[in-house]
Amino acid sequence: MIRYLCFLSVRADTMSRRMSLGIKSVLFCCGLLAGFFAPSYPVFAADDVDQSALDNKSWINEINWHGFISQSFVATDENEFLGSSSDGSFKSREAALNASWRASPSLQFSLQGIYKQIGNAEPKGTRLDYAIVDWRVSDTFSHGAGIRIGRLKNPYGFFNETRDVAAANTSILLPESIYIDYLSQLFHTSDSLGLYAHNEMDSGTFSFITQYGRPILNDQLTSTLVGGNETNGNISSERIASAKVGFEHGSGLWRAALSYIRFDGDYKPAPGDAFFLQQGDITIQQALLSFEFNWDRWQVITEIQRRNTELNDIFSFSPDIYEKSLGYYLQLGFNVSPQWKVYARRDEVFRNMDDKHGRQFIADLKAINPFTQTQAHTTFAKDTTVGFRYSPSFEWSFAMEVHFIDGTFWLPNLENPDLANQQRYWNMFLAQVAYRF
Amino acid sequence: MFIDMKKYRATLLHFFLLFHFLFFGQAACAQAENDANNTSDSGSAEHVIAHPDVQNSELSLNQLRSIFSLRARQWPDGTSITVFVLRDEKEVHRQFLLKTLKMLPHQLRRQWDRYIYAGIGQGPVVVESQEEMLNKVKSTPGGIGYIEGGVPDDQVLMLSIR
Repeated sequence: MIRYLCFLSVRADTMSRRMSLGIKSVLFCCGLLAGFFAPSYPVFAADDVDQSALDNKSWINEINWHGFISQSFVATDENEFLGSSSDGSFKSREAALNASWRASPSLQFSLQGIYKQIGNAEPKGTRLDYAIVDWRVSDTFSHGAGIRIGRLKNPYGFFNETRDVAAANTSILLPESIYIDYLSQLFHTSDSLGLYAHNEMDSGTFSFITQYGRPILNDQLTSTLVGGNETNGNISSERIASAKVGFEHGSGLWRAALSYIRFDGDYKPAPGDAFFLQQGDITIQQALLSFEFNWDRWQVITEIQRRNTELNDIFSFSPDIYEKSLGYYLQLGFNVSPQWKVYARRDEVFRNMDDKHGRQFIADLKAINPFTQTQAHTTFAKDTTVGFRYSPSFEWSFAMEVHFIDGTFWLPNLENPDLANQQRYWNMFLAQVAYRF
Repeated sequence: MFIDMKKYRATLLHFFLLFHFLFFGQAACAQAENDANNTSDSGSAEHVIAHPDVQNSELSLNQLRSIFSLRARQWPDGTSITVFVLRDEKEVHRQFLLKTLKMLPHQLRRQWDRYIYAGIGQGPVVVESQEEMLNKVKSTPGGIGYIEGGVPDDQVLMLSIR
């Protein structure tokens, strides 16, 4: 275990060195923290260390260590999701280790390295998940406010910030209408500057977060962003802005939040790309209303999202793209006991809210390319999910769920390259084992 | 469920749910708090304890919640707050959350998870037994925890909750 911890932290250190120049200086302090992981190794590993040395109030002993690891199994009757799932796939797993150190009550450094595999999606392997300097400017019993800088998790909806921690989620897959796994890299983290504040009121807590910075892109994501066309081009002056306001009742009985996130980027094709791709810009805006109510053993969670996607000048002989997408879900949970939870969810998403069955979309596509193999059911997905989670302790968690799906909106072409063979009706089974500390 | 949905039906439904809970949810919350108050009268209650140097001998429920939710990081005199808790599975822990803090255990855990795994805070210090809780709170300046039935002498500060 110790060896693995060390491996992760060293990798995290090299990752931070690879990062772009601008953020390098910003993350200098976090990099220092990462560098300190290695020397801390003998302290933890050596058997003959004097116990009194460990009891000393050294800052190394003040570091908090946490981590998680999970492995999922996916099987589908039609289509492929998270690897070759029609034969049963184990290509869904993650492992992370984090360290946090509070230098003073108002200054905290945190760092997390993650290994993550989402089917065959990029990026694969180990990378820096977050590296944060958090300065709490104001801190009283009635309110608090502060500044964060570094690689931050974007505040979006109820689940974006903790989406990778399997044991912290109810279901194995988050609602794909909003938290699409194959697009998660785009909105999950960013190299950003953030402001946050909260205010304690009589009945609960009001909170506010806003962040601005650079998203973490890769080649696969660039291709997805330009309408799924393969490209070696790149996106420049990419930027991401997000904000979230929320209220939570003091007892945790209910909470509500409104989130907004916006991505902007300028696309430039590379020589050798498809002839119809040209220079242009991309904007994606998402707004999300979230609500949760807990009553006795029951839990109701619902979120509704509007997404506007704009692609300007990118396609040489088709008009600019402007899509108004709608997604929402309603999830019911019931705590049979503190360890056992059962849940059911209805989750729906439409690529264009004015063209829910994709008829206009296909007609437009056929006007440009009569031989297109894209089918109308790629414009929507309606998913009914039932499952249970068993958490015998804080550390361990086991879950199983089944999905009954109509539509392929969030089915990745990456795993299903034969567009004509994507099936409209498909079912999926998932099982998951997770450990954390 | 939402077949043949008209254009704004989903949006309207969500606003309906939101306002429904805003108005009727408040009554339900008050009812739940009453229930919690009634049950806390019976049996040996969990007492909030703090390091003897802590200046506040009295806290409001909201202040106690902001401490155990890890939002407040320091006492008014500037000392760091260190929160000690038993493991999630321990019955004393659950009873403290339900009766004294009047919070749903899985909701508090969700808030802690966000601090621990999104890098924007730190989790509470988890201890294995009430003896360890007492020793840690006694020896950690700014420490706060809870204990079943209270303690006999002045080793720690017993906080009263308004």
